[in-house]
Amino acid sequence: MAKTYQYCVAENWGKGFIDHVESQRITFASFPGNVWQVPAYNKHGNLWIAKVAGVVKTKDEAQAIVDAEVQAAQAAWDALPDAEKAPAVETNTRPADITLEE
Amino acid sequence: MATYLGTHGSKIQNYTTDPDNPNTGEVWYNETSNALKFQYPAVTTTGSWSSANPVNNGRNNGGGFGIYTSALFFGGTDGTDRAYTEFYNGTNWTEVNDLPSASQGMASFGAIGTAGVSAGPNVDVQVWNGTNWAEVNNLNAGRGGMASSKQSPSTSGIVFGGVPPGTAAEVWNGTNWTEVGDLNTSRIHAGGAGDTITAALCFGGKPTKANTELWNGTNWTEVNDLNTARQQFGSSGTATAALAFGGENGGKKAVTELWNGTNWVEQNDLPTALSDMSGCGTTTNSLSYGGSPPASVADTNEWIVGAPIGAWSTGGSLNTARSTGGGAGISADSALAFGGASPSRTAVTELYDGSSWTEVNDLNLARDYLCGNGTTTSAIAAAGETPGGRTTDAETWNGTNWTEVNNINTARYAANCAAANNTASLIFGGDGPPPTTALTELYNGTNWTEVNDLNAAKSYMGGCGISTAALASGGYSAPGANVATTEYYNGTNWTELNDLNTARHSLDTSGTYTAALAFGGNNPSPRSALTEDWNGVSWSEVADLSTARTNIMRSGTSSSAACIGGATAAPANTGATEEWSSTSNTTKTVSTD
Repeated sequence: MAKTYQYCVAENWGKGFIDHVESQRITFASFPGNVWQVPAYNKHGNLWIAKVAGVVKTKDEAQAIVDAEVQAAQAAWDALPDAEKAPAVETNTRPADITLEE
Repeated sequence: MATYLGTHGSKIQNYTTDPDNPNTGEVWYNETSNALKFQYPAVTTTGSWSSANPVNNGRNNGGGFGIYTSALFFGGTDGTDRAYTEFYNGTNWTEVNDLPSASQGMASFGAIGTAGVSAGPNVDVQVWNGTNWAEVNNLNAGRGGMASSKQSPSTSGIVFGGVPPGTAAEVWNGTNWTEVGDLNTSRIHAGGAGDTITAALCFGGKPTKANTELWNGTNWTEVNDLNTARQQFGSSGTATAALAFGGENGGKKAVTELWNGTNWVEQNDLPTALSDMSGCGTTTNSLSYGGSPPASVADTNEWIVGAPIGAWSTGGSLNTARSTGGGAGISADSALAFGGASPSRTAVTELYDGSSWTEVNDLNLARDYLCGNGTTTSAIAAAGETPGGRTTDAETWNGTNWTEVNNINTARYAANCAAANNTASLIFGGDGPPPTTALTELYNGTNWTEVNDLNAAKSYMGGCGISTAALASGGYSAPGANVATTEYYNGTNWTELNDLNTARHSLDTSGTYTAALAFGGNNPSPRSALTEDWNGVSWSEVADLSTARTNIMRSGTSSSAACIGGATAAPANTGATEEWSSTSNTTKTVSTD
């Protein structure tokens, strides 16, 4: 099956990491562990990965990084006092699993 | 002759790959692809409607002509026939000299708002010279409800259809009217388009029909029908590129269709279903004004193809990653972030210059789920959650320090506020007893006073605007119950407007009640990247954030905004900033083929 996305690990240094031109050309999505998703087989995606010195990961490698980060966050949430996990604190929900797309 | 060197101060540069950040209008030669390229503003290729300033006197079934930067609206009825004439300069409608007599149901054409013709509803014809109406030679047969070649100049046009028999057509040569070939199908209140007397289009009409006929200067020929049969709609354009919008067909319609010279193609709808409006312009820029839903309305809507395409880019990161704080500032590169959870409650305040964040003096009271607004030199922070629970505390920022001021009346957190500065603020909604509140309070620089409530209690909503013109969007009415509602505060009351496309809470908004941006939140995923643009009438989805998040801080407007920090999937708090610009560029290749 042809890939829709490609993944890399790159640390967001702030200004200039993604500029407006790049953002207009392609769609970016970030995931835990500094994992970034950009379109596969895309010149602008490839140029951006090169610009940010991104370390390219397969989808499975990227998924493993994301899983590790999410599991750590889930463990931290599970360790919270019950009062901080109460449903009334609507925004403090348990971190959900994330499944990356091919 | 102007040269590139003379205009830009440099020769066209050669590159092996396209430059990283070319300026708008910059031209370069790509040696690898052997292509001459240039940087061009990215714009939409499909059209959409947005609201504009209303006419001064709402009415329907009036006449109109011109273009979107120079249009005329005259006559019509608001229950009583009117002689009003109003001129639109692209921003505002201004009353100018009246028609000689009050009337409705006239046909009209004119390529610009300073020169046009009004014909009917009887034999009378008037010409507008930019200042006054003048009576000119009559039609051969007086009738109301005709259509016309809308974009024709004042010296040359054609009118057709109208009250039964409803097939007659007459051509105006600047002096006299001449009867010409009849339409094939009788109709009244049809749409009309055209810019010469040898090429016009007649479409739809009453009794409700979809028929379209093309005038070639001699005969009318049946061509492809409208997709939606209707009557009493607005129209604009020419015989080869026309627009039909709104109308009546067993009810008011918002549907918009584009004639491409062969077929009618459905486009984005009007924000409101309307009939009996006036219209003018081209298929790239048109206007719809007045109308009936059924009472007369003053609505003006602008159709634009080629609107700027906005995009997010990354900005500097907060020194203290956090969520649930307060934000203020006038643009993407002038912002203030204060308080929040990092993960413990913090009083830290940071100032953004468009590049990096700098720590400045702390809030007096550390808190999270507070709200704030204003500028980087005059802001307000109020409400929030402390170890003792909901707080009434309020502070103002003067560009250097936070100062305690009189408290709000009702303790709450997860409220939002609208404020231009630290002397006038509106706080609304939030988590207060019972679980969510509709309470609204106004700050006058000294005290907080209760004013009229939101229509529905909610918390964790977006908020923007100023204390006399605020917008509250999204949120939740109870735990687990996201809302998409948008409410507008006019200085006295809250009024419900059109909903967000995606109900969500813990988003935020920047801008004003006529132009705003909503971003982030908890839906469709627990951390959302969704961004929606508010044009004063409706929300439309635009480019997503690159990092999905909730409980963000914000600054700016709908054209230049910052999404600051927030909670991501993991880790819980981020310091990442993203900057929204409503304009972006794209690279194009010069074609010589």
